Amino acid sequence: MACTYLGNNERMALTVTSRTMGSVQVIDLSGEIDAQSLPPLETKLQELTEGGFYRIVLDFGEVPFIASAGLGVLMSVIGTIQDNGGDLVIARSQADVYRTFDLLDFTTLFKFADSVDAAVAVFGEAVGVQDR
Amino acid sequence: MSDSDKGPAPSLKPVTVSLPSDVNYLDVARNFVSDIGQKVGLSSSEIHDLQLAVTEAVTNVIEHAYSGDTEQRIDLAIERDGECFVVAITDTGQNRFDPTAHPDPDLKEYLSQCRVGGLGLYLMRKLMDEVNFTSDERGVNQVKLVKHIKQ
Repeated sequence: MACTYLGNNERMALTVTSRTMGSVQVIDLSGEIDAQSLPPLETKLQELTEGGFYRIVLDFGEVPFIASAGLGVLMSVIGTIQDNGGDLVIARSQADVYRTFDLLDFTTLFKFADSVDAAVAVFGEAVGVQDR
Repeated sequence: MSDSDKGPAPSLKPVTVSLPSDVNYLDVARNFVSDIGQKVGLSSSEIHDLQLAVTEAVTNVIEHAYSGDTEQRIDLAIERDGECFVVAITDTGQNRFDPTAHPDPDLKEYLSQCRVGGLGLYLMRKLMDEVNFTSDERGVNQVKLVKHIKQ
């Protein structure tokens, strides 16, 4: 008999917060990204680009999963961001998530960094005590 | 330690669930895949690949076969037969999917145009060893995702 399956894991809603590091906007993400969970990310990216912020770091450290719908949202803003002299750098992507990006050749379109500081440094921003 | 404690069972009878055709249940579909995958001893990256392929397949059913109608039903059935881990996703949507109309995109061209959407099927094909679509005369559509499991 069919029944609704609830599983044994806690639901992982996507939380999206942002902070400023110099001239760079850092978006901290936590949770899984799919067609259901992505609206807050979409809204935040629109908010930033409409506000003229084109230097963006996405912290993927707490994102264990991204579906193609999530990649579509990044695709929808990267043109505007790069046309305005900015960029979108992905920090701390986990192995499975990086592989998803790589399968779709997104690794040729987006820059990746091992840490948020390294991602911010891509924009020439000095981070912490180490001046470059 | 008995043999059954040493490793996963070589086969698993079909386990099925029914979900509403609603993206709010995508995570439930993933949890189902994860639970059964763990039960038969899949690696975490194998489980991730299956979760991603199933997410793409279910999303396609909701958006295309059912045109966003959240009142319909999607059945998921998982079984393991030896080296094959199979997830069958079944719907009764009006819009039958014709995979031959969707060849793999030229990713370079695709990315240069900053296109959005349409990558789900490509991902399914990349992640799985087999992706088979069928539709019968009763209007039942099914996509079967097959992953060959390393022993």
